[in-house]
Formats: sequence, structure tokens, C-alpha cells
Amino acid sequence: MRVHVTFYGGLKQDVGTRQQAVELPGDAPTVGALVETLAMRYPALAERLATVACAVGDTLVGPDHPLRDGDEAALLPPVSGG
Amino acid sequence: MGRWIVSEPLALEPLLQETEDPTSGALVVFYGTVRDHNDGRPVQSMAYEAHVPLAEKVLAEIEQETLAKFGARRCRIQHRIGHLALGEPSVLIVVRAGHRDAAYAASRYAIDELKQRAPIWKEEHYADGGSRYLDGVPLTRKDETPS
Repeated sequence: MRVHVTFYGGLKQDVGTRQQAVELPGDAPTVGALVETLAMRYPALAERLATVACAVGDTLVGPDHPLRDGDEAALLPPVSGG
Repeated sequence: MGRWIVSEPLALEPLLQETEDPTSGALVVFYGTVRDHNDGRPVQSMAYEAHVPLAEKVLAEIEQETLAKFGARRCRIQHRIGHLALGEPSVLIVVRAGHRDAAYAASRYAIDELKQRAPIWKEEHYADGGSRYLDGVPLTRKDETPS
């Protein structure tokens, strides 16, 4: 199963890319599994995970949220708008 | 671009027209603008980025909250994205209410909530050519207790 991940703000510098397709094993992987996969791939991301939120589509989701093939996920570091 | 997140320069006049309300006796306009320094370091320009679908949803929610919590009659919020020069407005908030107390309180609430909840990031660009994403506020879900 494949999901598309976009990194926002300073995260895209940490991981060196803005968007990436990620293959996940199993029928119903969760956001938590996606984040674990990415953290193993990018140590710089692992260090920041405690403050990173995840959105699927236009909704913030938690680690238990199930992913579907083709989902658009986003990793969102602490925000600084205004 | 959208109704809340825009890539063109922010324009007050269309929002004043859109929020016209003869029952309101107070109008508060807040602009946030790009400052020429931060933490003692001279800033040359600022780049703003948003997760547009989520940011639009959050700003629409904040507008509605100002009506429900403070009795504001109208509220519109726009945030600009892209590369902004010094002094340019990055955010514009227009609130109309029956009286000034509600209008000031609602405007203050809107900018404070935006800074906590809107998925928007700013990257400062410095005169020496360097740049840096600013430290910010971690996003939390409504069903989650902030840690």
C-alpha cells in the first residue's frame, strides 16, 4: 500500500525532500506505522516527532488513524503563522 | 487561491464591503506585518507557507468562534503565503460587533487562535543570505490534551 507524504516548514529541510511516496506493509496500516517508517528513514525527523502533527486530507489525525491506499498525508511541525 | 489563504497582497477594501453591517457600531481591523528584525538579527524578507486545505478549515472555524463566543456580528480572516517584503501585511483580520469591547476581544481572540492552530510556517530570510524557520507552537487535535 502506498501513501503520499508532504513535509511542511522546517521538516522538509530535515528530511531533504518536500514530498515522498511511502510503501507500507499490510492492509490497514495506521498513521503511527507511517510515522515510525519515516522516523527510521530520517533520524532528523525522529528527533522532532514529539512536536510533529499529522494530517490526512484536511483533518488532523492521531496515530491510530487507519490509512488507505493513495491517501495524502502531511507532517506538520510547530506552527508560526501571523 | 482560497477565501482564507491568499497568495496576492492582502486587500482591506473587499473585506470591508463583504462584512458591511448596519447593526454594528464597532469595526476593528488588525494587520500583522513583516518586521525588520527578530532576536536581534536583521530580517530582509519573510516566506510564508501553509497547509492550505487545513488552514482554510481552521481559519473558517476561528471566524465562527468569534461570533459564538463574543457576539461579533462579522469576522473575516485572511493570511497571505509566499515571499513578503518588509512591512507587507501577512495577516488581516476584520471584526464588526455591536460595541467596541466585543470587537476588540474578538479580534484579539482571532489572532491568538490563528497563531496556535493554523498550519502556517514562516521562514525568515536574512541580509547575509541565510534563512531560518522560526520555532513555533505544536499543533494539537481537539480530542487530544496538549502535553
